[in-house]
Amino acid sequence: MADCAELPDDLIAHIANHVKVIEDFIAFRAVCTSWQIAATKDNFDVFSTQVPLLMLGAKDDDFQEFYSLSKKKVSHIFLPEARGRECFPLGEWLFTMEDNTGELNLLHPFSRTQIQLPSLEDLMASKGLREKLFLSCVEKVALSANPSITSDYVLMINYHAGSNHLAFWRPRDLHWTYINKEIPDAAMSINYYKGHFYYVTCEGELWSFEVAGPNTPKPIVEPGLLYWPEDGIFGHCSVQFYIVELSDALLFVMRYANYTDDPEAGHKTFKFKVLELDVIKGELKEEVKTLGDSAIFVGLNSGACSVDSSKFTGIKPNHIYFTDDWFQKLYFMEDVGGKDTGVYNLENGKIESIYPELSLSRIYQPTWVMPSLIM
Amino acid sequence: MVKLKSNDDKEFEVEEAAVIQSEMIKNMIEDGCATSVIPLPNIDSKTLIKVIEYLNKHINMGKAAETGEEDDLKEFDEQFVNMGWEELFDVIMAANYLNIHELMELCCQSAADRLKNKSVRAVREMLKITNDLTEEEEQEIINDAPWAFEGPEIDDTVN
Repeated sequence: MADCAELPDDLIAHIANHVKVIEDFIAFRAVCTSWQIAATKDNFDVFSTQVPLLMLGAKDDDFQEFYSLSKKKVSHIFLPEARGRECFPLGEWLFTMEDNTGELNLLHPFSRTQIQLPSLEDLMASKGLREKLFLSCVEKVALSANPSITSDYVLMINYHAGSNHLAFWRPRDLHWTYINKEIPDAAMSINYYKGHFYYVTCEGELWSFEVAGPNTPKPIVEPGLLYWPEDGIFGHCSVQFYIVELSDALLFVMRYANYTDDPEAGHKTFKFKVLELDVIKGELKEEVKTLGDSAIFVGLNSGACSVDSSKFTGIKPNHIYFTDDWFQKLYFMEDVGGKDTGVYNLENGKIESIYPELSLSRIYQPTWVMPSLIM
Repeated sequence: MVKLKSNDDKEFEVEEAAVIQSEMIKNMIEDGCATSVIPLPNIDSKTLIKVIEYLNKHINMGKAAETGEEDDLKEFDEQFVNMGWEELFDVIMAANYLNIHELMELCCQSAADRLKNKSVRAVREMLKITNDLTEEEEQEIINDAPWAFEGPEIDDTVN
């Protein structure tokens, strides 16, 4: 009979290869020396999907708090680079903005790697603006690929300076490149899918455009209006739109909330509607009634992703996990921000709390951040 | 038919179509080295019976898709890996030695699935592994991803 201790290292490594969840991989390494040696980072599939962590509200110290839905616990991570900055989640990365200096960076919260971007001033200059820096002018940012994996990616930014603007940056670019096309409304969601950026406005208009990778002199294909909603549902004052990639299709997710002026109440989500998007024809297809085993995550900066719930502990199938993103600038509303966070059951429309044990003050402006393995 | 002999001197006859799923034996047959009995000094009869059961079931795997037997095969695989840890490791070692890719994948996946959400303590106990990491080394591993480690939802049961 084979004792586990007799298992040769290459076979332990082979088993480690099949461990796809970071939490399990770390536990695997902590079992004993031979397992630690066998389970190297090369044995982990960096493309395997992970469950996003809930990054809890910023406090004025050098730590960030992350809540794991699988482990149901909060971890404090030393991250002085994010202190006092606005953070927009971009998968594994954060886009950070220092409001006073206009310094912009991509920050990897777990490795603390930073990628310096041309400043906010440079962004304004790309449009020929010389105004003093605009506080909190960035609406949305999007990446075409994960900078941890490739240096061939495009960072898209939607910002507000008098009117609505778009610009992009690629590795090795010295400046932001302005996209000379007026899109009347700010983005509710910008996503990259199969070579195109998709841009949804608050009116429900869907635009698409291409940006070529680095080293291409004429990079932009004119943005084109792909879809224009005809019915009245988009006129609703408290609707959010997200685009989510699921099983090789694009979903158009609508989130409805009740809103009262009472600052104690704010927005309260009561319903989600999911439609499939046909990007070739530029139309919305019929309503998607079930997500099957999948769960969807939406929130600040769209941050939208989907996972197969059967592969993870503590994630419910056919549910939509959402965070409060009604106002990105919550500095004046500390008591309210974060309240409208929960999980929606697409089958029966019920909403539950994600983290009953956490107090509200700790979840102010929570966002989804993808974990990654750092070793 | 091909004859295989386990390390406890038991002989088994297996159809060639089944046994060539093992790259090792396939090569032996192609090289003309499989004229009489093939001795397998690393595999005991109990494990070999399991491996042959798998090979026989998967004999026409390519055709399963056409004949709609995929579900049947999936069910068989699920049942097949329903064995104790020691037995599973025996089959993994045999599959590795015989170079049967699909069987190797199936068993390693099963091992990985059994470790899902398990506490480190439970894994050590289940597999009778003595921890030889120092406290510092263990802490270093945990520090790679402190958010990922244990927590109240961890499965601490040993089965």
